[in-house]
Amino acid sequence: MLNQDLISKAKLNDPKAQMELYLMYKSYWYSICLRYNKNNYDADDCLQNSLINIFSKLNQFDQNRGNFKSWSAQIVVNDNLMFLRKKKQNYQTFDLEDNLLVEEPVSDEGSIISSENLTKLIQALPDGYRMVFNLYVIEGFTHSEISEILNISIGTSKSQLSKARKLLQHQLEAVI
Amino acid sequence: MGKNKYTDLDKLFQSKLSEGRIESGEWNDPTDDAFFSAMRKVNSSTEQVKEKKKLAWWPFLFLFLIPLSLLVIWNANEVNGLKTEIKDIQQKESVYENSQNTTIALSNNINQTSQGLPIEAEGQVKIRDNKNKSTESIQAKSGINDDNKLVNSSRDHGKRVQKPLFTSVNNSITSKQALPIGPITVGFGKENIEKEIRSVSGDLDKRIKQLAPTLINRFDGLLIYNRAPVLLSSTEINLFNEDKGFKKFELFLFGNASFNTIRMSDVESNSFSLTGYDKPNLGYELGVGLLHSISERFSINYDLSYKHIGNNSQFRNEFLFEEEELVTDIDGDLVYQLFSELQTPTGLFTANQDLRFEGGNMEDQTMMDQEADIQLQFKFLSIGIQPRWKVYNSQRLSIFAEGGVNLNYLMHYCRSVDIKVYYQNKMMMNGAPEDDFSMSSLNRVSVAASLSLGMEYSFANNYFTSMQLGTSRSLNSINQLSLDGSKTYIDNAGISIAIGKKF
Repeated sequence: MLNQDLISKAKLNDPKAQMELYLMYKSYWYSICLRYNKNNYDADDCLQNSLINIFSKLNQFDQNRGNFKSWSAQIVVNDNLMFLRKKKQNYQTFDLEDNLLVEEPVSDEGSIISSENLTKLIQALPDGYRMVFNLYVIEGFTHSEISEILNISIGTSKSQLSKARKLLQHQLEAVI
Repeated sequence: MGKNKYTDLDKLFQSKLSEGRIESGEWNDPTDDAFFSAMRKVNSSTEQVKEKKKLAWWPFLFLFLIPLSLLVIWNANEVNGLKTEIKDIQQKESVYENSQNTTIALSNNINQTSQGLPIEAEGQVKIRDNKNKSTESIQAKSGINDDNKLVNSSRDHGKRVQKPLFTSVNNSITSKQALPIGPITVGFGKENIEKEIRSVSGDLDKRIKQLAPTLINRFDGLLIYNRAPVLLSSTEINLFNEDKGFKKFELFLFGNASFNTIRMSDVESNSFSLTGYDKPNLGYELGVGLLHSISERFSINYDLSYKHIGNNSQFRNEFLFEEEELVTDIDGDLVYQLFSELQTPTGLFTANQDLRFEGGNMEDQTMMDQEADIQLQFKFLSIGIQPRWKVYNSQRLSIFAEGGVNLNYLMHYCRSVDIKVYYQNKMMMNGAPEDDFSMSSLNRVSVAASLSLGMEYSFANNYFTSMQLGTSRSLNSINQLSLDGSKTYIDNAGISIAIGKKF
């Protein structure tokens, strides 16, 4: 109820409501950006683009048709995909040996298998692998949908997912 | 999610990264700079849109207000001039005080005698001899029976008549010569009026004779009391007018030039790459209309028209070029076999065509920019019904507000899509424009609400011209069921010019 009220106010460009919405979801949105990008700088840029889109398209959000969190997450995911496309990064297939390097070391604090560390493992994947893995495993898209979203063949989607899994498995075994 | 097969590894990631399961911490706490920067952009773009909308209306407002102001000023000056002249004549009247006491009333709206006898003339002259306290009819002298009782108690020559002098019409004069005075027709020709005035009082001020037709043109009615002209109000004229249920029609042709925009709602976020559909495109409308006057101020406008509306939009997307889809066609040209779905304002468009390879080196698995120009064309047959309320009404000029609904029937539709592919801003592939005329996914009938403000100016004999500034807004979507769930509406704002005749 509080959420709906907030969204209604934010639709009217109420700065307080916009700020509260942002504070409520910023970690979630930023986590998505981190998952799709190699580094925090790119994730920051993506978050900014996503915020612009979320708040400028807020009037299109119908509270009766879905929840705000999923709706906003869809925008964030799309903006991340768009951002990566703009960077003209290729979905080239990588040899496993070229991609074993984890750019940022996983944190020693707490459990090895934390959200933060798993995100870092995903960040270390090549762009093509990372996008397919995120879309398939976390977002729940099918290969057919991924092929349409990324304009790649279903076969490419499947092979990139397979390679991403192998890389992640290898990296996990290395850190545990 | 149910369709996908997940490994244990996948489940591990889902358990930590799915919605609602992410652990918060410093690692995913962004700086607030991104938010403040985004908000600045959102607010500035909102202001820009508002400013753009305001600016778009300015030319229309000026186009409407300038001629309106000029007409009102001109009308007011003319009326003031005439009123001043009447005062002068009223002052001169004292000179004639003891001469013939004759009252002449000229009214525009009298259609029937009190006895219910139809009159052929569209105007009347009533004459009263105050000295003899009897009614004198011009044509009674030539044999028409006159038995009206008048209630004139005023003996103050030249003063404004507060109450109607006549309870009934006592005479009618047939004249086929009508004055060209605009919305209300007077059955007297200039010659007739001057002749009748002359016949009543031969030495009437020449100026009254000159003014009489003009005064009738400009005002609801004219009473010449003891040779002094007195203007009658509409109420007073109505008391003369026995037939309250008069009907008037105006038949007119009209043309409309408007800016049309397409409004899309419920657009999924993955459709953001569709742009330009909301930019105004010029359209036109031609039609015929009939205005039925229910009362002096209220009327109903019925119209039938042909509408032509166009729209241009652009779809931009990026896709992965795969060399394996490059083939040689029958002419030996290198073509790329494209199969993709494009978002358009009228739903998804399936592009299944060969793009001619223009040249340049491309490696397999290269991201390319796909651009499509989408041109839409709609032709509607429209039927409208709009009640009209005159907020200002004089003999020549009226200003009105009109609002109602239009039923639009889609007669013709064409969607033309022209696809080109770029790499680093250089065109690499070119497709032939593809036309689609299928209306199966569209609503053939749509309803729009309209609102307008206009003015009508009468000229010559019962002819008029009008100008309207209006806007209309679709109430239902053009799309029946769009796969992407979007709804598309056509809105427009424009100016209409009409010319017609009253009868």
